[in-house]
Amino acid sequence: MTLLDRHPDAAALTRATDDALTEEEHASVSAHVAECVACAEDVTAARALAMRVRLAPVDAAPRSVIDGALARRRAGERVLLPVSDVEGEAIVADSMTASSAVSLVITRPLRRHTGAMLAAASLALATVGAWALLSPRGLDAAPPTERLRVVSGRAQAGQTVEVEYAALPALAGRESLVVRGYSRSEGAGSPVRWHDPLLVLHRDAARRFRGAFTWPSAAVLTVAVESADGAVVDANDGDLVDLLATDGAGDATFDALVTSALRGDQRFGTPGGRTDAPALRARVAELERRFPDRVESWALAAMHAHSPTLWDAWFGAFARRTRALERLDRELGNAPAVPARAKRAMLSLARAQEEPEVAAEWARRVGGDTAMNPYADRERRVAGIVQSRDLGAARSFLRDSLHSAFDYFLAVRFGTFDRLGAPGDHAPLVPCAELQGAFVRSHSLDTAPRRPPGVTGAAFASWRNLVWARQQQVASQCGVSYPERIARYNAWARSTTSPDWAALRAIYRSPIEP
Amino acid sequence: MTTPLPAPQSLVERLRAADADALTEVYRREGAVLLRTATWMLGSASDGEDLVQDLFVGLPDAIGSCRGDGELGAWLRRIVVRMALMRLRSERRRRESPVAAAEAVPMRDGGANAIVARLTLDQALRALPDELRVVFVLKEIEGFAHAEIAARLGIGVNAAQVRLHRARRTLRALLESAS
Repeated sequence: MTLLDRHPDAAALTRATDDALTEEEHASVSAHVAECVACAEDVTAARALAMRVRLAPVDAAPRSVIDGALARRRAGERVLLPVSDVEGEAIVADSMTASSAVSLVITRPLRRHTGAMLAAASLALATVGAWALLSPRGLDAAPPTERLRVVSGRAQAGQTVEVEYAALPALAGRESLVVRGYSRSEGAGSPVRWHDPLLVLHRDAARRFRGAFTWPSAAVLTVAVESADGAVVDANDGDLVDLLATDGAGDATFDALVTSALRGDQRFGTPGGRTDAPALRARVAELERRFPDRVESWALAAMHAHSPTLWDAWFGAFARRTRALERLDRELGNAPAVPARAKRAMLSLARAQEEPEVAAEWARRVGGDTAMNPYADRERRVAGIVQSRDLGAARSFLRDSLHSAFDYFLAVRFGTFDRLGAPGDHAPLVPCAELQGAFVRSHSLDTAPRRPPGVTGAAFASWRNLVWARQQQVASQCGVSYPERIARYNAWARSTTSPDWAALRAIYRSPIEP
Repeated sequence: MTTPLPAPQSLVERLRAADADALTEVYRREGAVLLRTATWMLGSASDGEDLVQDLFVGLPDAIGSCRGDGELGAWLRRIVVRMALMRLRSERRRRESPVAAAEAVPMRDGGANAIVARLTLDQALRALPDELRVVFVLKEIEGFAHAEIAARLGIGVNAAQVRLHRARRTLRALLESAS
């Protein structure tokens, strides 16, 4: 065998391209590259490609991006940025004073909760987005205001709570309104409960809407107020009316630790206070050790408490889990016989991370051991829905299953709900193309996008394009095609410099081709 | 006796005060490069614009960890890279197959050949799988060392180098087939 026969492996060729060869390999690899036409061409072409990429012209930055950012800031929106590497220690962003509360919920301006509600919300999960998914009217919402408030009673499980609602103009003329909503107990794996209705509001002589209900045994309540016929909804898209409460029936130790951790942060309850970072990290470490499967709970608690420190600590924990998961996956992935304990560790990690794909893959590897498959029930339900083609069941399934706190968290964090407020957006979470198709056919394509006030044309165009793309994807998976509609849409997209929204709505509203 | 003029505020100080003009100025100076990085990392112009817009929404609240005007550009690029990696990793981005018009690239200055070359490069980058494209952009655009790329992606250095090799080969093949 000659030198020329022994081609360097891919990694070595990369190091040769980037002048990063180690001293030990430098002589042999360099000599080979100098002699071998194929490897020399590989290195030369890679360097030329790098040069081409670096010299590629940079487009001017469109004004719409900064205009949109300024508009969002004016509306009170805030986004937490990852200012340090996730594997690093918790960050205290020292520019964040107590007076500049930060919200990860970037779809709406900041609101103040009533004192009682805030006090009760020491641990809060939310399932915002439900209505953006289910209501085709999400984009029509008026600017948000404080509308629903508790006028008597305590927000605790089993307590009667009376609320008053200041109606949107579109709802003000009704005699009664229906409040529907979700609740969820804190803790991973707790079910989301759908309350339909939660209560009915009646208009009194003073034209105020009032009603009472029994507070459910759950940590979270996200509600929407709507007319009895469902034609007008006061819900998400910057207009969500949410009540947050903790029922006190949860794990006292967990609650105490989370509350303690939050209070260690300068931004929770102690305006102008300082962060006791070491104490906070200690509490976070204890949380992680004692409640390994409740990452979502304290992450969201941090989010709602506007605690960048705790959020960042959570993200560090998330990253560590991810690495552990990947490491374990690599180690076990090709092992011929995986010990049961290792399988359980994989599943546990995947579930703690709310990584359904990973957990499902491991459940599959486990084989017939359905007890270890946390998604077995979900899969059975999907199979039943596909077989029955029961759209009502499909909608019920979507309500029950699409509110993984982690998915919610990421979606809010990255603004997905803001821009993709259509049912099809979450469809990929449903492991069934037919179900996606049924849902999209019945909802998304009937939804006429309308640019909401304050949203820039570019942002809306982005939203529209992605929704359209997703519909196309789903339609493709479902074997549905509508070439005429696509042709009309493409013609619209190509020809328009000043978008004709009415024309676009007409396209969306046009009947689906058989 | 004259009153001394106040010292001019640095850009970072103005950002910290959420000065809209300062945000606009930073965007004018750095926006194009940030957008390119974000777009190439995420493989989509609209996703890139969304990311950069989020960056500027959050900038005043985060600027405290930037040491000064001198490192502002590099600091912003590091955050864009982190944000892009977080989106790719955590959001489990759903693959889309946008219609041709959905990602239309607007015509800009630079001549027809530059635009064609750029379009081709953009298209080729978008065609790469996330794990290859990210390694390529981190190396060739952001100038990270192999070890840094590996650390950021949570993979071994050797794996990073193999991915980079595959990315380069795939890109070359795509570009050659396009031409």
